[in-house]
Amino acid sequence: MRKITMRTALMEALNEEMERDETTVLFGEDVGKFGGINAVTKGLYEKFGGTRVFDTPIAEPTIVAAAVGMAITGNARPIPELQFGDFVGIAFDEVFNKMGKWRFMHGGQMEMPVTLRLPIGIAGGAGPEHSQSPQALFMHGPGLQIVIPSTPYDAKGLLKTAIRDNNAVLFFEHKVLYDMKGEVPEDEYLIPFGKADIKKEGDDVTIIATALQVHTALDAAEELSAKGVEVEVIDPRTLAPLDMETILQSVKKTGRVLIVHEEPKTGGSGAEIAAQIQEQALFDLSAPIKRLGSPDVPIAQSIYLEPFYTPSKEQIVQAVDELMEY
Amino acid sequence: MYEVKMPRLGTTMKNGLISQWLVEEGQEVKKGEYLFELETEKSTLEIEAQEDGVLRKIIVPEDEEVPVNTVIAILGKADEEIDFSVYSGAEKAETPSEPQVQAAAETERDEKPKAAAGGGGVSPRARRVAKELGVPLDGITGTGKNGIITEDDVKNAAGSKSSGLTVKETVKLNNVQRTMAENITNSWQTIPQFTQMVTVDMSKALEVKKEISGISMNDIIVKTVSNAVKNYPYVNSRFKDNEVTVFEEINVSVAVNSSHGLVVPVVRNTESKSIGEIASEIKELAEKAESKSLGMDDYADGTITVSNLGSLGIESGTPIINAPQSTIVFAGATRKMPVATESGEVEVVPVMGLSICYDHRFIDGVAGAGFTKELQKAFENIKAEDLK
Repeated sequence: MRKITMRTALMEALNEEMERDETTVLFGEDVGKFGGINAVTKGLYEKFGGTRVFDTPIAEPTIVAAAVGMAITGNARPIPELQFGDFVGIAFDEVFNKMGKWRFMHGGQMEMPVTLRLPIGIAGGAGPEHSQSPQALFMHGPGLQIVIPSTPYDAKGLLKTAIRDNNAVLFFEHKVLYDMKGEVPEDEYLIPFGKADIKKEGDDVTIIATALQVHTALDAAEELSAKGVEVEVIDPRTLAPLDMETILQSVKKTGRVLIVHEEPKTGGSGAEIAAQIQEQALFDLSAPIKRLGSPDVPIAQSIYLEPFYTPSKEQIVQAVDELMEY
Repeated sequence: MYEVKMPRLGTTMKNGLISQWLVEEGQEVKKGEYLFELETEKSTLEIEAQEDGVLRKIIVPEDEEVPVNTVIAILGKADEEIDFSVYSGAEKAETPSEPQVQAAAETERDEKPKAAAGGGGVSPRARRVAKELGVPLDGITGTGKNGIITEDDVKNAAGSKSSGLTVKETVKLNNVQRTMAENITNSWQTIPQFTQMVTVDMSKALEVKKEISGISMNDIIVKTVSNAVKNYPYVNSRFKDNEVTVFEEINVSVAVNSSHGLVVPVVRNTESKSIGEIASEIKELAEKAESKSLGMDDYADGTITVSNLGSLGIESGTPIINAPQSTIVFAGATRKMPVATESGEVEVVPVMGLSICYDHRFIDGVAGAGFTKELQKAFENIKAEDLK
């Protein structure tokens, strides 16, 4: 099968869905002629024209509010982009309250077919306001669907599903993954929300990882496998809805759990997953649930300090070793 | 690296003393080989290594008493870098060098919260498995981190049941066997039952067997029981809620041996079937039993049971009623025996032992004797046409 980068996979998804549905509109900072700072929207302006693909001022509340406004008219299917996911803070009310709740507040009179793309993650010394992974904040906001792919294949299938969905979707893309290649079929496919993917099977420890950390976990899995420890790596792919069934089945088998993400450990998505596991499967556990996340410290603007924020292969191996002591 | 800890060999064991290290530092040891000799208040035992490895360091020397779960040695790879300094420190802390009184007070303090927490030191999964297997947690030595009791510890304890016995194998019952176990327990616990035994002259039965081709003694027994029931239907019955239900049909549950175990399928309406039909039906049921294709229907609606272990040479037995039925007929082997005739002479006669077990809640000794004698008579006066 052909291998393409996640950037190309996302571009294909945008192209295909914008061709398929003329009501789709794409906008954000520098997404038009420039093609986006991550070059994900390159060529869309030329292909679909300035009415459907256009730049906005540097005003995130306006970007999201405009998307919400277009969506509730029933005449448009907006795909806005925030240049950095961190900027969601300034548009918080538009996302958290309006995008997520209006359909429900108004008795379903309107739909909210918005897919807000948010590039996230530590990459290239961009500092504390351009490196974060704020997805867990929105697990606390009912009404929002949260997608966080780790491979080109998942990214494409999930983005197509997101765009077609008539409820709000926050689509988090880890910047380091844009250049990562993976197999993607030529034929069209969709990936449903709420369906975790087992990236590697194993009997000893369940590792639940998202985004870039899926790959760190898989690297660690290889090293652990050489030592005779077989971990199972599960990528939930969507945090809302969250596929607890797949996770719990794995926990039943292994009895040991490690959750890895780049978000700060405190209040990260792993906290919720760990809580649900103990609520539903305490008596399957042989050991305390372990979590690895970034430290609860603003991310330093230094490529030399950055590695200390991202969970590493060594940390994962060590955490698994500790779990295996039980 | 693997920490060897002072094991707990019984609920009451608090301290242990290594009387002898059986492996020297630097020597390799395999999992299961003896590592050291342990002396407790009760006995001296050789303790096996739980992991493969090189005995890198002996932390607790011979003849020194230490508390359970103290790290006493380190197993590891020959070239593994290990910081042993942690252990010497920890070990000192646990050495009873402080004044005796203070040490005693501390142990007490340490133990109290443990008891309050309902044992503590058990992984939730191990707790669940212990409950499922019915294994008491006290007395299990934890081998997990910090002496926590793990799932494996529970399973091992379930296997060896804490006694000195070594388990050769454990056998799980299949569905047929489980059902039998349940039914038999139910019968034994809920039906007061008694057995009557008689010896039957089988001379005529053997002649009849020769006369009709393609039938076995088992087929003759089934049909003869059916014939006797016709004259004495009270035993073809069930008892429930102080009411006896007697049945029209005589559906005989027949014990059939198969390589998967003894099963008891039903031959229906034996009262209106010829011995030939019964023979071929039993054959069919036996084949089904062998191929495990007996269905629920094949077991349903039996009204009386025949169990015949004659072919295995068993002479008599005390059967257990096949609940909810009220009567089971056990037939033993037919064998030649010297018998005193009415005129006082001794003759050698083929005889068979019959043991018939009844539900005593409504069949008393006299009522039982009625059917027992009826069946005996039926065998002793048997004619080929009775079986048609």
